[in-house]
Amino acid sequence: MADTTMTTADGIPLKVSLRKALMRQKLRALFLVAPLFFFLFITFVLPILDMLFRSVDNSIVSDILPRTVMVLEEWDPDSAALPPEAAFEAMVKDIQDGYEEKTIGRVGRRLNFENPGMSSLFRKSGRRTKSIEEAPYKDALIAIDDKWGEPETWRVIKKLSPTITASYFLQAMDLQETVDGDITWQPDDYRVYLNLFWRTLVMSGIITGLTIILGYPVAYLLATLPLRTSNLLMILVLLPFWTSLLVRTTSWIALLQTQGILNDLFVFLGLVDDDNRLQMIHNQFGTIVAMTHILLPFMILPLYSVMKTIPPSYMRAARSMGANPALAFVRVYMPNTVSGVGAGSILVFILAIGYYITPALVGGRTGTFISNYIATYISGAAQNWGLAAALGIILLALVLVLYLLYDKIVGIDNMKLG
Amino acid sequence: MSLPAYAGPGETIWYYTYRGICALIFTFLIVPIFVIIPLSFNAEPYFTFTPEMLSFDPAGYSLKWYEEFFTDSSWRNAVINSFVIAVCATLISTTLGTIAALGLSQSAMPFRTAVMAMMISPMIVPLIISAAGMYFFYTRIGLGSTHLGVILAHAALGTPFVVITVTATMVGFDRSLIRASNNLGADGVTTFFKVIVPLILPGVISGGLLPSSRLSMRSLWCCSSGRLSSGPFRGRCSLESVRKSDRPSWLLLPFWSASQSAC
Repeated sequence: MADTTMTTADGIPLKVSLRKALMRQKLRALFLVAPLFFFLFITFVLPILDMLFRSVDNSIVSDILPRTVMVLEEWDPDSAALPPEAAFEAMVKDIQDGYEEKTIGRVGRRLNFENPGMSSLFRKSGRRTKSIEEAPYKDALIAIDDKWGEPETWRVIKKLSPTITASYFLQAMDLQETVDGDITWQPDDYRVYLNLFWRTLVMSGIITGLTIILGYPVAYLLATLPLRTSNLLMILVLLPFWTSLLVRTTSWIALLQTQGILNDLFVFLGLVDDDNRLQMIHNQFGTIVAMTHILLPFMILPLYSVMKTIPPSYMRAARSMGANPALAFVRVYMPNTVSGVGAGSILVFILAIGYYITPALVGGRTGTFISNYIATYISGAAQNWGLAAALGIILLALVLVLYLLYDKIVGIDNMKLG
Repeated sequence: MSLPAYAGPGETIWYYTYRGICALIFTFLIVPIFVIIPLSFNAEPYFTFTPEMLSFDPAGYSLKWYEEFFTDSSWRNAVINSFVIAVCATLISTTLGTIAALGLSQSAMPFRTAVMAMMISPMIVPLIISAAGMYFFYTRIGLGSTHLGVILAHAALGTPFVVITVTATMVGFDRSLIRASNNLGADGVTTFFKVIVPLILPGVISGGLLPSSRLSMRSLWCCSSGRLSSGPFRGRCSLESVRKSDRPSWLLLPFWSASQSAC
């Protein structure tokens, strides 16, 4: 019986040879992608993971006050009594070491997030514990500051002893953990972040809606005009798209401010009185206008690319079957553009909720976004990297959910720019 | 889309109204770009049109901000920094991005969607989050406050633009050209430089230029995360001045806008 297996010229069965070739192709593709993959992994993914870690990291207390943390393990924080003399001794030694290495201020700042006053307590004690050399440590510490004689101080230290904490995340969601371990809402005066997240989402929604309203007619015009004219008009869309964000935000300041061009124009036309010029910037209005302008191209471009693929004969067919122009547009044309509207909206919404620069410059007090708070906690006066990281991670989670949605609806491969 | 011959009066009115609406939206898009240019010739250190400017009085106009820009060393430093960082970051992101896009556009590429998602994520992740993460991490590994750190960060943030445009270009690429080239005896490297690169060059260039023209935007994160850049950046410098509004040289933003539109 003759061998029916097909072979290549070398005598290798064809199937094996094909599989080998396919494997080689796969490897080559992976090999091409690998450099960028590793580059991005190190320069981009690791930093984000690092931030994730930072949002739960709490090793600072157990690193700088190791002896105290160990002794406090035995102490029951629910008791009204102070911890034993050993804890005071450990604390004095820890503070002395920390003062020498100049790390004591950091632990004070960390404890201060939970209990205001701790920072100054540690600063003060850092200087004065130098002279304490022998027992009784308890009396010596209390002599420096009465706060050492309050069980509350020790409870805070014990509460922050574990190296992993959820407190930043709780704080970012306006929650707090009481000493008993219950999770409750923050007092009303301290609740800011949920409102801020809500405001960021609402304003991004408004901006997305405005870009749909403004972008749809323009995209339709561009898609239906002859190519030569539409290419010319396309420049009007692409020019803002290519211009720096900062320049565009600045021009909006020039246009909208109280002594700005629009107000000048209104006064000149007699629409408003010179004495009560409109306040159009450093509030939500300014942020929404400027961001709508900046994000509009991100709506027009995907809409345009979808509308370009709809044959004009559809509309003609609808008309010839008796639909009036409006009905033909609503019943035939618009359903065909839904995917474009979806793509544009998600893209604009994703970009909007993470916006930083424009709200920072024109947002004033009422138009700031969650990103601006994150920035304040990184470099501003109220440094709190853990909280900044926790807020960032929550924002990131929101964005990633939308990103997945975008992938489901449009497909990431189909993303186009201009 | 021209008005069809069978259009009724209602349709004709709507046709012109619609054109009018579109004209208004285009005005909204383009006016802020141009309004800033004449302001760079303002003689006063304010960001408004003075009465002299409106009456076209020569006294209201001046080139002094340009003079300051070209003579002040801090501006010069900022421009040099911007330029060096933009060129280096663009080179890195364009090279790596183009090679990766070649791999991504092959039909045999495994896990394409997942890898693509990861490579586009720098564009999707909010700037402030990338900035914060990079600031923490680069400080930890000793890259904080160095040019190298800023370059790497910009390169990472620029790659999605390259990957997207080059992958889009590769969709229309005729793969039989590669086979033809191989058939004629060229090896992989020769094929790449003699056949593939000349054909995809437009996509590569536009992908590489897009992020670098937006350098100013992204240099912002250095500002947001504080002390990362070792010298004042153009973007950083100007943002700070806009914030403080006490240094009149931020009026130079218009100049820079003009230079960008000219490019």
